[in-house]
Amino acid sequence: MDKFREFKTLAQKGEWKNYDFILIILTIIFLLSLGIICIYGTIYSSFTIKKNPNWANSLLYQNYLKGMNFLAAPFALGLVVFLGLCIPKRLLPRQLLLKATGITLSITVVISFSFGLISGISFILLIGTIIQIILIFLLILGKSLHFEKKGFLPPLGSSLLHLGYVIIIGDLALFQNSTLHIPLFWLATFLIGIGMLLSFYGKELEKFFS
Amino acid sequence: MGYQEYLSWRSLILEIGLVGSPILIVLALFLIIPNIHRKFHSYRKLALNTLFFTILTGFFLLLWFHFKIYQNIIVINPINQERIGRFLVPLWIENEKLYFWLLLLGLFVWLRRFKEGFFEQVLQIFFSFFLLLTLLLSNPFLNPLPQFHQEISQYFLALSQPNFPTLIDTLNNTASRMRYFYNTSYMWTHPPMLFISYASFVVSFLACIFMIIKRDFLYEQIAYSYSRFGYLFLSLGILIGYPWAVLAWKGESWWWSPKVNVSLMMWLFYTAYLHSRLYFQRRKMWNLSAILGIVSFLSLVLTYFATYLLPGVHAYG
Repeated sequence: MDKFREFKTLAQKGEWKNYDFILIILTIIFLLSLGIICIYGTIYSSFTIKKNPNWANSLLYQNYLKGMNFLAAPFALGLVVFLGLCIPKRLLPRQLLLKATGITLSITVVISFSFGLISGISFILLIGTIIQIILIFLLILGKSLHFEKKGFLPPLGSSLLHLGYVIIIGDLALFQNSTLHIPLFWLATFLIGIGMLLSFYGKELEKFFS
Repeated sequence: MGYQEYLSWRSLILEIGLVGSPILIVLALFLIIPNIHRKFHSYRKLALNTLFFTILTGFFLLLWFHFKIYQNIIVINPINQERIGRFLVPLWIENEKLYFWLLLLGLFVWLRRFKEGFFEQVLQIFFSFFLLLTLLLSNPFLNPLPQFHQEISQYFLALSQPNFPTLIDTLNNTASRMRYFYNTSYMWTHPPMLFISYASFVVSFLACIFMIIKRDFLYEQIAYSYSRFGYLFLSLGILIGYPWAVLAWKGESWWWSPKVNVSLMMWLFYTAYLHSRLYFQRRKMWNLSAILGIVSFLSLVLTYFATYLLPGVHAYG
């Protein structure tokens, strides 16, 4: 009880950064929204299959896929944008970050309208991947960056994890019909696995090795 | 090859099950009593150790049974006497899966045996309750591997009464089940990883309830430490399943199918929970984090039952 109060007081002192907090809240809202879309999809498809067992082989199923993609796309893209906002915050001051994000988003919108949505997504994912790789190099070189997690291994893990997610989203969105699809998927899975391990257990590993 | 031996090992498991199941029920009740009644409190550790090691012994018994299947049953093409292979039957399929999950949960409970809190007492009662439920709903000793038994019996029946088309059909079925189900690397990685995560999430679920009732930092830490462990296995388990799904369900309608949807929902909810706890010190975030932990677990229960209740390519109902 006392410890809880102690933490509450810490929070009231305003030691927590609002920007990061808002990003986290938005991420939670978007994740939950996608979860709710999944519930809708489950209920709809279950009832439809029961009513019409051949539904999955019909044109109606293709319409359902399109509908689900349409519903999920804004939230999935939102998460990509948050990831895009989240990644460079470790490199840039907040004002500059917001400007850079604004410019990146504007270019994404322009590319999406000019060359199609896939090109827009490709652009933002590419930017995210490049920044994430730079970040990992900077971390390895020992540069001081802004991270929620302290130490060396947890931030490294967090960066690898986010890089894995950027690659997996890109892989699913852009490479589903390519021969690169499964190799890229395994690369992302490897990065996510190592990333989670270091992010969740980095502190313990650092203690153990020191 | 070896069907009679297989039947005799199976009968032995059944006989042991007939004696062992009531013993497990008594031991489960024996663990509940010292956690409820103060007078018997000192017997808690003894009861937990006895129950956990009995369950572990049962698991080794099943492991031995699976080894005997591997050792004794060799599938052969009767036409050219070519050896097709042996069965590597996983220990987390059919009515063994809940027992495997329970063993993992038991391990987590047992690892907390030196902690003397109210949380551990409730956790042990939970564990006993789940054991009773498992023995009632899906006892692996009273009907060992029913579907595998049926398949293998059909194969040996076809061998003993040579009718060429039936024999070829049965042989093809048996060989394809062996190659693409029992012996696949996917079956040896995807389900056990998910069961590890499910067992871990039970502890975190209980800790989230305690977070709301007791409002103690200790329970947040317990919830987080078991959630991160579970989430690691859940994410990797789901990811490992994907390349297999792409291959096995090629041409089938599985994207956005009911089971895939609920699994994704569970993962999204746990991701949201882990994000929310980054700021649990903020106003209202404590409750939000705890509620998300509870909702995520409820989505896990739904996901598990969805495999049996919902239609689609991933349905086993």
